[in-house]
Amino acid sequence: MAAGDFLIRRNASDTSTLGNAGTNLDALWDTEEKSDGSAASYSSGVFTLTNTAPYLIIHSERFYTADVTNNERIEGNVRIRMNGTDLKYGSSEGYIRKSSGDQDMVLSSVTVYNATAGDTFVTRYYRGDDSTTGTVERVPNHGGVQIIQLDPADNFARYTLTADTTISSTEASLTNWTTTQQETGYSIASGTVTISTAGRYVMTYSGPTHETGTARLGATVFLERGTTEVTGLRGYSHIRGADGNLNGAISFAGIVDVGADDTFTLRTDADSGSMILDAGGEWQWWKLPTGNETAIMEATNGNMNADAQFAWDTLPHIDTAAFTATAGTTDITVDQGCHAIVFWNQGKNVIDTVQRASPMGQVAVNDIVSNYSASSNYHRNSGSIGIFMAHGNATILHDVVTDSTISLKNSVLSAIGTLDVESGHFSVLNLEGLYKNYTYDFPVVITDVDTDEVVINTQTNVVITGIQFEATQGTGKVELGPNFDYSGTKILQSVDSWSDTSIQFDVSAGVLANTHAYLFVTNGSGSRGVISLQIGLPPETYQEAVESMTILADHYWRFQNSYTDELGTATANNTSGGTPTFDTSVKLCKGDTHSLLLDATNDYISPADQADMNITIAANRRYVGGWIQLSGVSQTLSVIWEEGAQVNNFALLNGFGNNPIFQYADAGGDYVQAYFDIPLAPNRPYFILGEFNASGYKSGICGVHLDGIFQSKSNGNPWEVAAFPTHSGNISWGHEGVEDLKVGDDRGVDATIIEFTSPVSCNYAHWMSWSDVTLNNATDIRTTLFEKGAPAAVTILGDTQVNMQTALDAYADTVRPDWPCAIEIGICSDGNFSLDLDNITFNERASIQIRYVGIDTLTLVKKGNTDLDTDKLSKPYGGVILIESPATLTIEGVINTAEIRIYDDNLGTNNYGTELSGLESNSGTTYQYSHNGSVNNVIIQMLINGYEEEIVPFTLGSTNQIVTLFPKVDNNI
Amino acid sequence: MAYTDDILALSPDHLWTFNNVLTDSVGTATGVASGATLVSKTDLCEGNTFCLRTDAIAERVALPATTTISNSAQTRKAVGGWFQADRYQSPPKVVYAEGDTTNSFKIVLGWGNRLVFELDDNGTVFQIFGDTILEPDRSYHLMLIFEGTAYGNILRAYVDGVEQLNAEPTNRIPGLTTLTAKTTAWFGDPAGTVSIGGVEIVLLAPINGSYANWAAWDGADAILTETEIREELFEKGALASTTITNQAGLDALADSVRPNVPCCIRVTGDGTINLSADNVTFDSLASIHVQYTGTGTLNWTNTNGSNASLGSTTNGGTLNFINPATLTIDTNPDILSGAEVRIYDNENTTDSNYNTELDGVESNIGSTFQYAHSGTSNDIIIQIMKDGYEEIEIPYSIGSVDQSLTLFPKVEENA
Repeated sequence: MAAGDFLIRRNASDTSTLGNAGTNLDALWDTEEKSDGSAASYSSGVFTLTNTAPYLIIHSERFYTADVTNNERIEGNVRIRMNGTDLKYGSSEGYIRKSSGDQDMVLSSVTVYNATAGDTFVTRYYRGDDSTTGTVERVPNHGGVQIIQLDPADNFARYTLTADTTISSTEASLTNWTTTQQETGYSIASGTVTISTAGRYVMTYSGPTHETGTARLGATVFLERGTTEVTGLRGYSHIRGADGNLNGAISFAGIVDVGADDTFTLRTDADSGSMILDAGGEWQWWKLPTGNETAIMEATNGNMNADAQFAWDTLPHIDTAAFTATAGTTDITVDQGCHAIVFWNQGKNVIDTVQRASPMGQVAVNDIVSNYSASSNYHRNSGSIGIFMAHGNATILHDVVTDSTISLKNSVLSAIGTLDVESGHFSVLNLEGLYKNYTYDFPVVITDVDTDEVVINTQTNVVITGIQFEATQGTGKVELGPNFDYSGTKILQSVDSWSDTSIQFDVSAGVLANTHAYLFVTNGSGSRGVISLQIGLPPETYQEAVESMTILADHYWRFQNSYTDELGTATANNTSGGTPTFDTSVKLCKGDTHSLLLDATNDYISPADQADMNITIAANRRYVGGWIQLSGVSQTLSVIWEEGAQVNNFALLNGFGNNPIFQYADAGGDYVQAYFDIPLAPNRPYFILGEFNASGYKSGICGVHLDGIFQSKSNGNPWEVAAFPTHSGNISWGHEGVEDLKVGDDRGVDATIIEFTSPVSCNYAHWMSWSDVTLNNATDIRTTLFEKGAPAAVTILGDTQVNMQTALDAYADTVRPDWPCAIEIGICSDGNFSLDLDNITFNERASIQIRYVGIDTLTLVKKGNTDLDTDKLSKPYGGVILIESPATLTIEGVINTAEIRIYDDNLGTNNYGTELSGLESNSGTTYQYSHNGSVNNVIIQMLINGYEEEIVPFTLGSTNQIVTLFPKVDNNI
Repeated sequence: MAYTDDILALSPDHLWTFNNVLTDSVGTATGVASGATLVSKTDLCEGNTFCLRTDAIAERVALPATTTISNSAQTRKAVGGWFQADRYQSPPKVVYAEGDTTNSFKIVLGWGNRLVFELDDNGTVFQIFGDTILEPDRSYHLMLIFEGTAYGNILRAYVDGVEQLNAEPTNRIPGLTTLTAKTTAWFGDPAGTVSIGGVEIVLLAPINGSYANWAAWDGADAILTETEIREELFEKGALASTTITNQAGLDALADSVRPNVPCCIRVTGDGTINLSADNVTFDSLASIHVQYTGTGTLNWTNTNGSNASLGSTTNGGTLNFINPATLTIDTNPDILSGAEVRIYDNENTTDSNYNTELDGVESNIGSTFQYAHSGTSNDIIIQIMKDGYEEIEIPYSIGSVDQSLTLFPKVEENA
């Protein structure tokens, strides 16, 4: 009994070419994702089914052509080639229309195969088109083959098409079935299957299609219960007979909640023409075993052609012991860790106008998409088609941790535009206990180390929190290492205590002290998790901070006497003009030695075109920017940075008194200008980061960050289309004179081409670019990218508290200037410490007033007119800054030489608590009591011969206060 | 007196009202429209029911070559008028310009509706940057003045009559005796080549740009004073968003923020008018808070957070802003409930200083007493009497801000 055994193989690195027509590709699946049991095995592209039993076989693969030299069509096909013979069922097709932005296809199918022990199969891919230009290659990390053995004791039915069947534009039922397998509870008559027993069933249909002419055909098959479509169970085939593209396939599957004696029919429909559904396709039913736990969600609206997680409208069935879900949301939550099978399908039956779209679907666990299963199909609204389309697949998810979320993530492979889902399906089946109880390799996940991932060498009792550590340590361990991938020498840590969700240990960093490093937790079962952290102080260079971000930049140019791209391969000066130089006199960022200097109107540098910046990509999100400094107020309009040129572009443009704009210009889509809240002061470094969000991301709001603060004004928001298109003009710092730039909104006939110059002069450092990710405004942009790099005008070096106070006192009674960071405070050797700011005030445009680079508690005591803005206090490495605002109580009306006492009002029987201040004989008519600004009840006492004793209760506050005494002559003497 | 008469009183050499005409009301430099049209519009400035409109990027009104506009070596010159755009401009736009790439005198709008007032003369470039962006659908009065070395040797720019000082070079000193003659002058899209900062660049017409009452001065008349620019050209042309005549009209505006407009509230009427504003505040970018058009006196009292401060009088009247303050008195222990409270003016005469009683109550209600006054600094005497407690008599100074005073009464031991 091996039902429930499963095997997942995936393509992690193979980019083999799918050759021209007549060449078969029997795919290799180079990596075992997961194997449980022995019911299936793999060797050199061949899968062996060990047992005589039904197997559920799922496969998918993505292909891509870089060739756009012509507009030919590519038709990809796949067959499960079992024991040397291609099966009809389990087949799939893909379609590419080159040079129209459509360069990808995904082939996928789900089917049940009744195996005889020892059956073997390969996945055979081939092309039917007659194109010979360019190559079509596998795209790693999208495809795989997944096999799970089912129990022969389950109830199955399989119906096979007996003859080719024409699908016309008149909706019709498929009736020419022959019964290949039909077990208890099923019957068929005139194409209608009746199921007598209620329950959850998996239904699949898969089989080839073809045409004989050259027409553009689109046909669909869908499941009806009675006379109503079962939402989301719909397949689609697109064929364009020209260029030899004569073949296609339809495959779809899902879980159906069947009532007793429900009747089902497969129906067909087409936009027009005569596509033929091939004989040999199979309609299959598998009754899930008793005790199955499932959730089924459906959708009748929503855009499948967007880079977003798809939301499902209804929840027709859920077993709440296993899953939690809410209609109208994207997620199904796993309540108990398990392995699971997920089915999805997104279909449409109303015309959409978008041309040559290829939406892709991938299942995500905790928002991380699967790298071994996907689906896609092609949509064309032209030549009498455009109504129907569908795509879907299934996947086995293994070792899904409790409370994980499962969702369907769509992405856009070609044309941008909305494709509405009229018929969507998303279901999940919990495999635990279905046939057997599994042993899991739930992954270790580390969420926090000492809450902020900052520790110091020899720090004790540091707490790691996370999940799946396991209840006891066993052979588990905590290690520090230099590299994310576990390479390099690790240092074993001393563990104090260990539980499933928390570990306490003492830091022993060795050679990793004062570095950025990685902490690994390996549990007793061998599962390992990793988290980056910072050990010791000073913590890290700006480069280390940038390169240890959770979301790494695609490109990172430091310009420290080098044009190297630290995170990519786009050397910054692939082409250049004028005489760009590296300047040692202007250092823009903490720790810098150089900056790039453009100081003539024809100076520029430009890397090669990049697929994640200006070409190929249809980005839904972008960030680009870095540190700059202008030498003066520019009288000319100049380009600080640009991508693209006269049609579409991103550009940072200066002018109008150093009031730059960040422009996002898509001639056919949308247009946004983002403005800066202040003009840029000459000779002052700034960190500028442009942020682009397409429709569906952060409400489509595009803008610009200045010193880590998102600027308030823009024009044209929100971005109303799904992505920013490819923009083929050069990427450049400064302006390449031959590429004039379009400014303005073409749609409003308010645009022109302007010949800009390069800025004179502008220094640059640490420039970065991200695509299709979302950074956190506070932690990523403000703290890491700005605060960790902001140069300080004054640095109070780490020392004893006394010595640091002395150093800080040198700036008493001064106004600190407009600078990224006014004062940096180092690490005090006394641990927690306190510093007085003696009448130190700050230019209102200083971005950081005080930066404390330690991890202890720094108390800043405001004295005189010191003004501190809590939004401008930076502690990027986890320290704490407290502010004390001392205040003064001035007592007026004091009789000269009177005795003055101020007591803490303890509200006891006599209220005279601790004496806080006092004087035996005060000189003058006022007395001042300075305190820490805390609210407190005190008693003021004044005594002098000839006057009545004054006893005044008073409440101290956080501001300076005045109390006036009105002493009276003592007439009772 | 009509607004155009106010302008004419400053002796311009040219005036284009654009009030359904392109003609020059003073000189002979009638504008020639290319695409631009005259359209009905009443919200641009006083007196106009029409304006000049550019609603496409290639539209302009060209002015003929005229010595008193630009076609001579001018030693002094001024040009200005009312302008409004109905949106943020995408590419940079010309509001008004003279000349070409190397010699020009112009007002340019761009990069988020920011202004550059620019003078180019054979490679020497002077720019003044507007302090504020031009909000869409809000009228502005723009002005650019050149004075050569024999006069003020200064380049001056004004927005709503307020001088703009942010410049490059910062001193705004052209050091030019005369300007090079320029044969072209226009509103909107340039017909020839133009520049910004001396670098040739494409500039266009504002969409949609509205113009009214633009005037040009040459010679001695061009040296307009700040008072003339603010009060005659701006304040008298500014349209008010609200006009009131009495307290009821102002009460209708209670608890409101008056918007960013040239003039927020206009008060009409003669004689003495006393108005009290109840929590009426003003957008920080509004150019006039209160305009009094009468010949008498308007006493405007800001109460309950009201903050009117920018006044305008267009007809010789007087406008006083009064900012009252409150002195709040309490006692510890509380004896004020039922106490007699008196506030006297401390006039420091030879008597016991109990002079004019300013405020008071025979039997106070509650634990505090509030004395509201005009905000004028004054010395007072506070007197509190309550059975069982010694009488309190305290000299105190009140000022322009709200104050609070806690007093400490003593039990009358000799009662």
